[in-house]
Amino acid sequence: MSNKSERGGSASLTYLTKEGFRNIRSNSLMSLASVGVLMSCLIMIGVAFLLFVNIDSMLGDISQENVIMVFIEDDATDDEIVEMGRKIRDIENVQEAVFVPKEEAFPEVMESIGSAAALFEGMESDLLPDAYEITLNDMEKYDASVKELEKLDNVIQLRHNREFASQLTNIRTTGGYISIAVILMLLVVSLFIISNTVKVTMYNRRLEIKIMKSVGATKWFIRWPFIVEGIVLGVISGLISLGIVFVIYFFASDAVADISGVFAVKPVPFKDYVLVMLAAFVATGVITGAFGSIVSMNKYLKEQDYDSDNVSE
Amino acid sequence: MIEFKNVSKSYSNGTKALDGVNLRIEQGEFVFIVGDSGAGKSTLLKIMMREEVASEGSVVIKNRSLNTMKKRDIPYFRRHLGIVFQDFRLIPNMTVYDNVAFAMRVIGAKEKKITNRVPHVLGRVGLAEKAKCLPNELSGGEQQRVALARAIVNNADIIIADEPTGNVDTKRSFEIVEMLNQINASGTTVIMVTHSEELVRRFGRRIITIKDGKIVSDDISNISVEPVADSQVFGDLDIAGKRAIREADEFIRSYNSTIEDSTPEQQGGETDEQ
Repeated sequence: MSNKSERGGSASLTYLTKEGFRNIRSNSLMSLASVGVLMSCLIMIGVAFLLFVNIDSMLGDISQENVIMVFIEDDATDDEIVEMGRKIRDIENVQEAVFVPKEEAFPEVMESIGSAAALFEGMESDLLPDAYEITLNDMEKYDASVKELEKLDNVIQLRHNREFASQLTNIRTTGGYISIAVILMLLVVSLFIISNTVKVTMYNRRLEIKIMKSVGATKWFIRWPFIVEGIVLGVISGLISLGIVFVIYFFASDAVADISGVFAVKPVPFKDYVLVMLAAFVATGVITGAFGSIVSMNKYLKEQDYDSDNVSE
Repeated sequence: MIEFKNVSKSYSNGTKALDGVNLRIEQGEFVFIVGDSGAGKSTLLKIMMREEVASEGSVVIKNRSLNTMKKRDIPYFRRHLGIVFQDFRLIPNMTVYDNVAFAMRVIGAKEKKITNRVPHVLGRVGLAEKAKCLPNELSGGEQQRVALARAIVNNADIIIADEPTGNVDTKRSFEIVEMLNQINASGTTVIMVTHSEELVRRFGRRIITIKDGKIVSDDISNISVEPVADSQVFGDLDIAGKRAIREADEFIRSYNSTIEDSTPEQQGGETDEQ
């Protein structure tokens, strides 16, 4: 059955898209509610995300300051020291290795111990050995990197704070898990709220769906305007939310900058994450909008709608 | 042609809505289906619309077996049907024109075809002047005429009307059935479910009575019988003749029944017509 001629005029994509926009206008209150709900969810997620990015970056900065000192034997030749530096830099996890000659190290130490420096007055500046000050990329590989460094020749001593490093790593890992959990939780809550909003919207539109079905509209013809509507509302919500998150972040950064003298906190620049967030927000908006529409519409497409209102049988 | 052979329908809750129904309706017939609430009328219509599938027996409409019809073919099958509901089911925020055009748009009709066809159909149901009105600006009778226009706008072969007069007063009921008569006169099959014995008696047509899921009678009412071919040739004359009788009768009736007919339950949305 249903030969080609019966299927007749092809569905006009322009009409369907226009219909999607018309739906938004004619159901402006529900559209506004959907955008509002989606926006609040996205803003919460955005703020949580930026908060965690900043905490992580701060911990990263702190861990970068946890340098490893490699003290060099006094009788090592210049060539050996240069070769050592090359070998250190060849280690995979080493971000930076700075040679600190004994002449520079002594005044630095003196300065760091403050008034106690008076006790060491008159001492030779070559009291300390030459050293390499090493910064690592990834604190999780701290132990492995230390082992590599221990294998080097001409090393008197390796000074490192393994415990602090591992504590920081733990904090960052835990922080990462917490942030993922919180964002997931917010996402789940958002989906519940959004799906309820979509359900209410669909309930309001069940008459249209029933009429479409009864005159022989195909399922995709019925779905398409709703999907267009979902996507458009999703994109709008995504863009506005991003703007709002930016404003919140702008003021929050200012506030943090005021106290940064105390804590040495430097907020992560918003532009570093603007593209990621834009993509994530628009994608979340589009996916929740489109899927929300499809899923909650299926109920009405499947429903035996004919007798739902006024027929007792 | 519509053919039910030994059709039974049971629902999952154990209710047997139809029980061994045999029925044949030819193209161009006008059939009333009557019966009490719960008798099985709506299940019969749902099976015709392929909203439900018969549990037993076979249903063939326009040479298509509804039992074996694939889901993706159902929308295309429904384009042969024009459905009229008791509660009109008009979209409140669309004008009369758009409500009718909607039925064409959602099956992908071209806008040019729509602009030609919709005014013509609205003229047929006497609502050309009200094209720009919203449904809530119309009386119940007018709203049902919009629903009728929507049902015929896609040139349906079969009109299925489920209690189309249930929400309008007696006078408007006659107008609606009269319109269905005219639609039928052009060769469209009309199947109308009703509770109103008065309507059934007035319009001498085939009456199928359902009780407890079974067809208990299938008669032609005693006023007149119009074979399809005759109604096409002499349809207008016949309708005019019947209209004269009806008008005389209505004059007498309206004397004492206006108050009775105007109770809110019977009016069901009647607003500005009288």
